[in-house]
Amino acid sequence: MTAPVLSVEGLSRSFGGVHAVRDVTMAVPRGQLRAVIGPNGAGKSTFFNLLTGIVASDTGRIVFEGRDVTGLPPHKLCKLGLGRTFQINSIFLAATVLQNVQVALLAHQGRIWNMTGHADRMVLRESAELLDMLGLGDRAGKVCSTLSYGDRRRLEVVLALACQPKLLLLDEPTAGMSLPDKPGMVELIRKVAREKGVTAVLIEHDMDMVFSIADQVTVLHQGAVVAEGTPAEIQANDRVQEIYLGEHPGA
Amino acid sequence: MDRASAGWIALVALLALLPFATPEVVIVHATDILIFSLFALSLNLLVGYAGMLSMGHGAFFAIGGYGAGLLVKHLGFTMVPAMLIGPVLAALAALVIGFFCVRLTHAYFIMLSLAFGQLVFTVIWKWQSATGGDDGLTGIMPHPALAPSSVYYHFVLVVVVLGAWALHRIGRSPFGRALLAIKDNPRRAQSLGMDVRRMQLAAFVVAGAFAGIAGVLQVFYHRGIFPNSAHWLMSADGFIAVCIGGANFFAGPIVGAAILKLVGLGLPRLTEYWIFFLGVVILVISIYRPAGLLSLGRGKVARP
Repeated sequence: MTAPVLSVEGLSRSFGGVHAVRDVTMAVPRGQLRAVIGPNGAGKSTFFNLLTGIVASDTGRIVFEGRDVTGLPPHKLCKLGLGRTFQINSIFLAATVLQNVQVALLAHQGRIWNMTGHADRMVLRESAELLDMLGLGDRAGKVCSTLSYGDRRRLEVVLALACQPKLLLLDEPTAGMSLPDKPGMVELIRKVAREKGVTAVLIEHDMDMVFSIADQVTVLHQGAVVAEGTPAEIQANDRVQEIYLGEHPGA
Repeated sequence: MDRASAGWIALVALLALLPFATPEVVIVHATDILIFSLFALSLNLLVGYAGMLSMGHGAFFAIGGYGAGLLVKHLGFTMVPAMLIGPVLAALAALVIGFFCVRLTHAYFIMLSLAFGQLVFTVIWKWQSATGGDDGLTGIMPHPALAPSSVYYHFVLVVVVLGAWALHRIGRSPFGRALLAIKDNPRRAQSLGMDVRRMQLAAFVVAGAFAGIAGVLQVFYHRGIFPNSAHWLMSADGFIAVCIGGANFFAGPIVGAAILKLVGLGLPRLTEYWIFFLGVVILVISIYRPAGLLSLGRGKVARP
């Protein structure tokens, strides 16, 4: 077995007296699609913020591709191959869809310091490829503030993929999407993960979605890992049922 | 050639012919407007592109001007090397001041940039022996070949056109687009691998250098420079010009600079309370055309 793409060792973070994340340890092998679930307040968002360098950990280590990345700022993590999406859409609203992707690609390629080129004419082919793959090809010229919510959500994924991540971190990719839109997004993530062989960690609320696409599921509760296993194992886990439903099934 | 380029070429051609058709007083004011346009354009790299509202930008105009002037006056430099070194000094000062300013955002950035600007102003004001204090630094003569006002006007026109062209190139370059992205959404920019502070600092230095170029043009034009060029009111004037024309249009600062200067020339002849009426003009524009005069007739979202 090869070394995991991401391994987290004893990660903790508290805010005041609240232990948002406590002693979390997990390893994500290459190519796996790992879901992290948990009820509200389980520490999912803090855990995500720790992984993406937004929040510093109190103790513990984060090892990415064999390298200790604990405490690195977001832009350095991106350079190392860590792409992320945001729970609340975070795109460049004043720019067109195409310009969003162009600037992301230029940043990834280290060409962002170029002060003489014509940005609108650069990386057109790569941008079109990415947009086509995620079904936004026909909306390339639209200004993002005029996009539908679902399309913004897709663009969010495009931006994360623009830096050709070795690890993709998805923060509630279907959050806020309408029910009919959700399967499309699920399909997209499956496609990206399987076809591109990207390792992904996704934080999700929607259990149906998690169980349909994840290879392995980690359950957080009150900041700590309470269960880890395949979707089937997690579905059958009494403790998880208890956390989610507040009672034993059949009780 | 597209319409925009044709328009620019026509404008420059018209400006180039101006001295042959108008009295000298027009040339004098036109030179002022051109220099101020370059200053406003340089400020807009910060305001319109990077979203950094610097209230200390006048300091770099002054450092360029005083830098060149002091080299001539105290160290015996000739015009050309002094003109080349002035903007470099402004850029170096922007590097030091920007290093601190980019650590803050929003109102805090505005206040710190204002504080540094006033610091530069105070140094110039108080350092009588070197800068002449409030008497100004005077007797800075241009090269004799450039002494006639129409010749100097053409020289300024060439430098300002080149400067505007360079700023336009920077604006549409990957770097300029990245600044727009940072203004739009710094968090996302960072997660795409951009070192936000370093890019903001670079923008600050580039803008400072171009303000410095405007400063050196000014000092040899007026044969001197005064401390008010470093005052925060200078930065505010630049900001007003940017807002009148529109920060999201490349030409916005030029239009705004011309209007502000022309109003400043015309209104005082009509009324003693001209600043009051200038205030009314700004108020009307900011209420009815918050995106600037160039947003007239444009429905869609404007980008520089």
